[in-house]
Amino acid sequence: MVSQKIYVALLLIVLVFSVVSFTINYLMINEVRNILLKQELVLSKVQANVSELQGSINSLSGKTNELSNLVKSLQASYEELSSKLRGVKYPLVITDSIGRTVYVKYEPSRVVSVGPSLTEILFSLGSGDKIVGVDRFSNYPPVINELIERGVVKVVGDAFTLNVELIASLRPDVVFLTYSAQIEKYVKTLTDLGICVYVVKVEDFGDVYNAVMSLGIIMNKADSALELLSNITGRVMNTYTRVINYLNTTGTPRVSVYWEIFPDYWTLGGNTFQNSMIVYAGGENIFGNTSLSWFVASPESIIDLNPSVILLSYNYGMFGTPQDLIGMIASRPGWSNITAVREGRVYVLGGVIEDIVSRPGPRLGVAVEVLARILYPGVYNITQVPSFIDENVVSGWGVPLG
Amino acid sequence: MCPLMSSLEIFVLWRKRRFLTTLTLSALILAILFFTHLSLGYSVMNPLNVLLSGTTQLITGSLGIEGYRVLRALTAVVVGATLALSGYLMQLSTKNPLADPYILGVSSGALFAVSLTLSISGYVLHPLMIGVRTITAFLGGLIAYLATLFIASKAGMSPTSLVLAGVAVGTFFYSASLLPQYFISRDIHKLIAWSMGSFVSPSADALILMISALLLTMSYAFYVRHPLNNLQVSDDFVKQLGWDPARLRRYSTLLASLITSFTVAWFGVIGFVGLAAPHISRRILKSSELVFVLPTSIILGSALLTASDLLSKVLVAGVEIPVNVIASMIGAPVLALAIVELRKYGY
Repeated sequence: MVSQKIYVALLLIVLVFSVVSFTINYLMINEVRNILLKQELVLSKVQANVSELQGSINSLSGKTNELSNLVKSLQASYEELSSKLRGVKYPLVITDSIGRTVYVKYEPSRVVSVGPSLTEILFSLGSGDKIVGVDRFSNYPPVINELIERGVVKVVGDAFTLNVELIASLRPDVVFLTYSAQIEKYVKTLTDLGICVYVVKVEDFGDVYNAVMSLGIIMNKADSALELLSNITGRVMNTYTRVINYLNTTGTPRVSVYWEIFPDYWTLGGNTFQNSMIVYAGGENIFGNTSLSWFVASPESIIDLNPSVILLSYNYGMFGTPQDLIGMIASRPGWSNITAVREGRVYVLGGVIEDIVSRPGPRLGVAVEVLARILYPGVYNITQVPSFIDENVVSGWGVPLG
Repeated sequence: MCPLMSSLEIFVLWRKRRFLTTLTLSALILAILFFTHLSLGYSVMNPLNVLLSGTTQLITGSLGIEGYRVLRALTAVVVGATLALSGYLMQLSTKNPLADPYILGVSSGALFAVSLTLSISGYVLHPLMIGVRTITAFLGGLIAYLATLFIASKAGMSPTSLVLAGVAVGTFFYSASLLPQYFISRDIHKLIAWSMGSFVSPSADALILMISALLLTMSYAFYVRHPLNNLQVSDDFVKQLGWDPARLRRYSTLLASLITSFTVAWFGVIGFVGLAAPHISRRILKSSELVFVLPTSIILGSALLTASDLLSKVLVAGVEIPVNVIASMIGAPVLALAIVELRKYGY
């Protein structure tokens, strides 16, 4: 009898205690939520500017000033943001590329980056020292390879197969995932484990700008982000204006390009960042007016469209030496009449350059500069473009690879 | 006055006539499709012109667009015939209406072998090189087939055991073929797309090889046409005729696997034609006689695949759709119409 009364009394105490603490928490949560909502409003303004920027980039045709104006307005809204936040930056509410609301509780000091572009962006922002995990394709900057070997940074898989346990054991403050159809299931698993996940789309030029800005805000490196964006924009715009000026003053037609990223006949349509790269380099993708992304082209249409330059991705030598690849192209039925083959303007992109032109990341400016030199060597006083283009060739042209 | 023919004689004559009519019509359809394939492409050309100049180009060795088109159309015809023949032989041997050329694990073995060489490549072998690809795929297919045969013979070499062994081996090798892809390239989707089948890069050497293999298999099937036909009835019946049913099964599946692994080596896995062509033939001919069904399914298979390849290069301007996708989409409705009366033919 006595024990029962004590038991009931204890239960009541526990009940009262939980009700009281719950009420206190509830009231506090409302307060915190209000603060967060205020921050979100200002942040969404910044993000709106970024999407405006993206829209403008996509419809670029000589409007070079508008780009730098938008970067300036981005800077202005950031300054507005930082003046309003004045010291209170975290916790942060930000929307990621797939519309998820992400809460970043404090400045991240342990970060996992799944995607080579994201790793490059983090290093360019100066947050490379915070990286504790990368995917297996992250190989730039070279210091990351050393870090992996020394075990300071762990390899957690790739966009298709993630080692969730390993990621959890690294106790990251935030995990940056490159968006792919397969990534969705990992998002849920990681968030169930209480890990903060931010999904980034890096598919076209605008995506890169968005990614740099978002990562900059999350890592408290928004200034570096803006600087990086200005750098990239500067490099791209410099190349573009120089080439377009040359074309206008000399009346040269634009060079048409066929880019085979994978045999046989895998190429890119208008809806890809590589297409944008070609456009900014002053060239024209023969399939650039399609709204396709990556697809297999019909060989007859390539012959008919008669490109002046053919680019081949080396694919890390998977299909033979550069000479093998070029020989394979030239021996295709009917291809010997294509202008590019006749004039010997078939180039293999390999080594570090292959990474640079196949990654939508901070080295976009480099990619555009490389492509411009391949398409218009005369503009850059290059007498002969070799068949195999790697980092040695590009350094020889005086193009900084970073 | 002539005596009236017995109903049996009438039936036999009717069957023969139906067969000849069907065969002629199918051959006609195939010819039309072949010439349409030659004339359409990025630009429309006169098909006879294409055929003539294409053949001369093929002989001289320097190919232009005409030569490419002739080569590609011929390849579609030959591969369609191969797959149909292989599918039919598999259906006979396994007494299974769902059998297709890949049921004994051949394609998985070939895929696995090529996938493996692609992952070692670049430094030692050039996997897209002619000899390397053929040999590896052939060996891979053969090893898988022998594994199936071994397991099936332990289980008595009955039709069911053959199918189940094929499923086991096929699944194993298919999964194994996906493994190297995860370690070599981020472009996994492209490797998978390659394995989905396309005639975008036909090869004259491959064509010659496949034609000879096809003729070999066809002559074997002709030679054993009588017992092979009676395999559909029962094993005991075949034994009564003086032939060993297990041996028949072994040889016909071996040849079928051989020709199939060649097509997989060069053009990846092209499904559906091998399954559908024999069934459609049976439906139209209203018969299961090998003498009638075999030639018809060969021609129908060629027609189906030629039509699919034609559509895959013409449907979207400048884009190549995998021929597999189109073959399934055309073939499926046709097959659906055909299966309605399957029960009449012993299935």
